[in-house]
Amino acid sequence: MEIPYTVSARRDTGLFNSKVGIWLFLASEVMLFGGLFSGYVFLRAGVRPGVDLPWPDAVYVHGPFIWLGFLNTLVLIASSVFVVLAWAQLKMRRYGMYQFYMSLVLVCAAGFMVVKTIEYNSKLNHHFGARLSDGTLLDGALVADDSHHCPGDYVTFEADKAVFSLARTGIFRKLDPYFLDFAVLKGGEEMVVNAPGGKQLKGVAELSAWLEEYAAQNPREARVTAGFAKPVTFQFRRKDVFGKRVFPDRVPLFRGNELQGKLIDDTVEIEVHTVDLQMVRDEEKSLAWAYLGEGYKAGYEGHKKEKLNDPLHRRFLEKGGTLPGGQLRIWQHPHPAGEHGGEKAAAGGHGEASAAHGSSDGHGGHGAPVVSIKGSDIHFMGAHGPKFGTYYAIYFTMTALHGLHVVGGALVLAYFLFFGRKLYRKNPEHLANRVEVGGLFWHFVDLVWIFLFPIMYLM
Amino acid sequence: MESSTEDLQKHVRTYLMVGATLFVFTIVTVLVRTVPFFDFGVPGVDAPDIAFGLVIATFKSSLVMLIFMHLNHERGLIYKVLVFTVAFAISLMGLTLFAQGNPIRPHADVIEHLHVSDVTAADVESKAPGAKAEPAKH
Repeated sequence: MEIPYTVSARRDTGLFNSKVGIWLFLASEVMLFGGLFSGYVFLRAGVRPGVDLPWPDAVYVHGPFIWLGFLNTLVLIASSVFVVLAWAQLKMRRYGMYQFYMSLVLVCAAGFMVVKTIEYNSKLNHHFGARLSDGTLLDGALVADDSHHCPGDYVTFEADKAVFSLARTGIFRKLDPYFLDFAVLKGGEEMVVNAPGGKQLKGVAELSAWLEEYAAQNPREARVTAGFAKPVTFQFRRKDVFGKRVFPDRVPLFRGNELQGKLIDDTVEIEVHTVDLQMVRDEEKSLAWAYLGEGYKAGYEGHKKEKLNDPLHRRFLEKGGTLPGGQLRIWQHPHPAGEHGGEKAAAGGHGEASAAHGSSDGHGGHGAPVVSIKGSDIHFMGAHGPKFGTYYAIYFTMTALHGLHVVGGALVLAYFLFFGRKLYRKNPEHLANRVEVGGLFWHFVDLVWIFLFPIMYLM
Repeated sequence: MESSTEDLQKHVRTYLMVGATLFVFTIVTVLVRTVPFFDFGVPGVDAPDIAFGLVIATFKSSLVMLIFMHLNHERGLIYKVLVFTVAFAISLMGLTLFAQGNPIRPHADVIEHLHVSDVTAADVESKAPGAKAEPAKH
């Protein structure tokens, strides 16, 4: 069946049908992204200074990634120019030039996605933040060793007892003490469980089989407690701990399982890049200084004075302006006052400044201090993923949705490039119309990015 | 859009010029936010910076819509569709503003202890003696 009005215009609308279709689709897309932009405004304007997790100054958050975002903006603008040039070449019946420009569009799309991947990877795997119990916010990176292993992300626990859940959950509905699989037993010791009834179980396989048997015999029981023949030391990734919270005598795990015994080590090593004190009652007593040391506290005060003495600030204040207090409480890439490098970040009352995973002077690879923070001082922590606050949630929602549009648009344009020759020979105007419609979508994708770039990266 | 080859070649030049303009304004946006000399108002992000950034973004998007998407000479039906779209999109933003007019306020005690107050010239003189602001010259 021939679809009508794909080449020539309808008399009543003056347009070929697919053009009307794409504009109606774009109208719905405006509402989709409009809703998300509206959500962005709602979240950002709703932040209460000093009460809510502060909206990060995007320039601090992104740092060098501003330039990647900037590069991506230029790449998308170039692709928009190339797609309209490809259409113009088709209208002039220059198929070779059309192929050339359309290929450039696809190269730009691929480049955009590569940059996006680099950025996402950095945020999700390298950038990290911890909000301490007094509201201090430390941003930076988890300290990794040569094999990209992050010792600071682990909890070490000596267990003498375990509570196994008998609830059948998960896809396979198995009673599997699954958490023992991802827990690392330190020192290569063998795990022997004294099951109720005097039976000794060696290893996870024997334990699993016994649990199945026990659950079948005791259908009304929800949990069973069993001791270890001798204390076993486990290491857990913090993300594998339920609620990421450990206690001095127990580690709650997912699906109702629990280890009981003694907490050995619950410190997190962070290379500190930014100190944000917007949510701290008394800046001078912030936990940041207990970990970073007095030198950094003096550095912070000096930096604050420096900011206020900045000619632009002073001129603004003298004219009766007010500075947002929050901005003065953010300190990036701190260094001890007057001692850049050479001094260890002093050991505080709460934790111990560590040089183990940074350079020997207690600083990380970027000259930033490395601190070991006690787990009990951490209120919330995590990578800069969607969970790390409303900014990151809306950032990932909008940029990921935009990225999907880039991929979808590129696939359609690639189809026109690689499978368009036959249609071009049959009816070149038909292919030109298709490219125009695909191009309109591509320009819309560019339009969304034109707004996304400044609001997410610069403001 | 029906055009002769000569017309299309003129259009191509226009597209290239618009592309260059978009490049330039993107650079301007980044400079305003990253180089203190170009910053508006308070150093750092503030309302004038946001307004400036959004004005430039609106200008850039207008160029894309008018030139690349051919909205400078489109048929009436498309404009009718877009008028409705813009009206609904503005209404959507309006709903957000209504919500801002009736915010959920924290407990008074929380405000008293945690609110980070803004800084004036008087605060600088009293709290940071080393950073005394010079008297304003009139």
